[in-house]
Amino acid sequence: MLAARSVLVALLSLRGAAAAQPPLDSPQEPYLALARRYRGGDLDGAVEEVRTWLRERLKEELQRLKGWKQVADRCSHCPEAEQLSRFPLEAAVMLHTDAAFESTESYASDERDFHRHMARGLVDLLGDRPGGPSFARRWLLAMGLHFQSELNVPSAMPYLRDALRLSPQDPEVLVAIGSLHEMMGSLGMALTKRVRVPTRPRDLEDRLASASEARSRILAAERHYRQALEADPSREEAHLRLGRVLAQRGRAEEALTELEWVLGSGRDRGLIYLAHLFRGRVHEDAGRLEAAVASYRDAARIEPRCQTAHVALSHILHRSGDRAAALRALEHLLRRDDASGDRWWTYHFGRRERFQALLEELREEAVS
Amino acid sequence: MEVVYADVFVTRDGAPVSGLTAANFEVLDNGVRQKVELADMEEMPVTAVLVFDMSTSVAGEKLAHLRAAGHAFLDGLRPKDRAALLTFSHALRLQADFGGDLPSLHRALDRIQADGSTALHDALYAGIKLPETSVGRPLVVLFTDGQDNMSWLTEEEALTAAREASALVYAVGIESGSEERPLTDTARMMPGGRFPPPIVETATELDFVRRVAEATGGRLFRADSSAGLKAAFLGILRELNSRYLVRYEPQGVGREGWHRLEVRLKGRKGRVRARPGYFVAGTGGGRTPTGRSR
Repeated sequence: MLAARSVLVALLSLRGAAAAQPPLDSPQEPYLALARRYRGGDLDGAVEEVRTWLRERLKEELQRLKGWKQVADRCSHCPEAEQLSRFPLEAAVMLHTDAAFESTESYASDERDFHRHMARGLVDLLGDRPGGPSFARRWLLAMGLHFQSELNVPSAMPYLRDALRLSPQDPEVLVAIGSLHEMMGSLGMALTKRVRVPTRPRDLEDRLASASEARSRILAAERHYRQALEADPSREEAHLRLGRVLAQRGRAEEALTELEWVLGSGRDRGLIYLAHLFRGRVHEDAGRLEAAVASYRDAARIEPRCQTAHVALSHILHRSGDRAAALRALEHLLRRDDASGDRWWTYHFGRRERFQALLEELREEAVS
Repeated sequence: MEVVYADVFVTRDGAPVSGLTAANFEVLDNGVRQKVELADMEEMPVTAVLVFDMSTSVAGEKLAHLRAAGHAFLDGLRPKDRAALLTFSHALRLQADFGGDLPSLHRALDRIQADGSTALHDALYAGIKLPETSVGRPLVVLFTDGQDNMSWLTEEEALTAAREASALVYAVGIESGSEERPLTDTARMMPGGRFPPPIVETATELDFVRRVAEATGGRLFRADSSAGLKAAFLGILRELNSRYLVRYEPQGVGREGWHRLEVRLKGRKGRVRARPGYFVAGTGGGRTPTGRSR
């Protein structure tokens, strides 16, 4: 009897020990420690460590935090709410973000995707904590800009739409979404022109579907740019892009109004360069060749080492009948060896430098 | 005195026809018959621009084959011929200009690297403009393996420029297989990005360059793979050496604007390939098809 009771007591003791889980904010909790390590400034060390963790373990941590959030949403005074508020979520977001983006070639793409999804899950937990919505909005915008720079529209759009849900009148997000629509519309229009003569009915159907799709994208772009300008009438990029899509819609005078705004009030040299180019295109399409020449000359003057301005200028001079000047403009470009990057080349890629700047900004906040 | 040159290729049963004289050609300029002569090909140097696609998709084995093809082409030129090398990704680069000697051209060919997007229209425009003031037969040999995704100029603008220029364009392209590939080189250039097109692509990738070549009296050589590039380039040389240069001083036709050109055989059977017309600009020094000024 005594032996059986001893066994029973021992068993009960074991069960009690298993039931007594340490609280998440206990200093011994590894995931919390990892997030704090990142917040403490050891970014590389924390990132290196998190890459060694099993995915299942990380998923469990995320699930636990989500569970706390659910409780906290119903009960702001519950221990879970307290624990969640003290968990360095921003640091955890950036920990996984860095694991996703600052990777070596040997790091598999599915591993990078996993960490990005972890970060995404953590972003959703930021909720209304001080600075949370702003942090979340910028992180979502950054992800959208990243995928836009890879022309990966299906991945970019959901992030940007989520950013817009958090901040419905955000002009930067509106411009980013608009530029995705603009890119797809422009590419669509170019592809429809490639099919010059339908060879069978399906070609015609595809061409019409393509033209219709392209038009709807351009209209969506216009809508977003106009919304951005309602929120911020001084947004240069919105004026520029609105000008371009209006030109694509054949609304030349309205397009010129927007482009002239950039030329008159803009401060971004690259956008001013593009405004000259786009204005030249509007004049060219309207048959105002002299005005087009002047615009392209202005573009070439602002950015003398940029290729597109010289190609555009050469071609318009060629069209104007001044073949010698056209050749000179081209030779001026081709016979120099200090050509620089051209903003036209990255027009449809969005602002990758903004993506990097946003990550840097978020990283600094996460470790402060 | 204005002179028009028409660079003509004659075949019968697929083989070039040799030994033709001026009497074998009938030329109509805007429907008006012209009095023609044959220019001495030995006396007419070729001014060739090699316009090579250096976008990311050309890297690796394809680039190696392209270099070999380019070397073979350069070695097939005559001593009085001139050549330049223009490469394009999103950026146009004049790797070697006309004034250089053959060894410098070969060296330039060995230096080229593939990386970037595809500004095909802009490159074609530049390629056909470059030999415009040269004496002789302007020739563009264009290689590409994909579609334009970066140019400022549209397809129509590039095609119109080719149609109105004096250069003969031969295009060499590699027909893509059935394997999936990103729609744009940019999608391939950036890691991880595939751009799913919202629309179905129905035209072949080489359709544009074929139209450009045919508009100038040349043609498209299609290679199944990059291993076939050298044969294609040598094929261009063989055709070039089998062509005729028909010349005439236009009579009975207006000067400016587009001239429809019809070149027919007389007294012999064969198929004639020549540019369908030429353009005389209204102001600023328009040129006749081979760059001879008025």
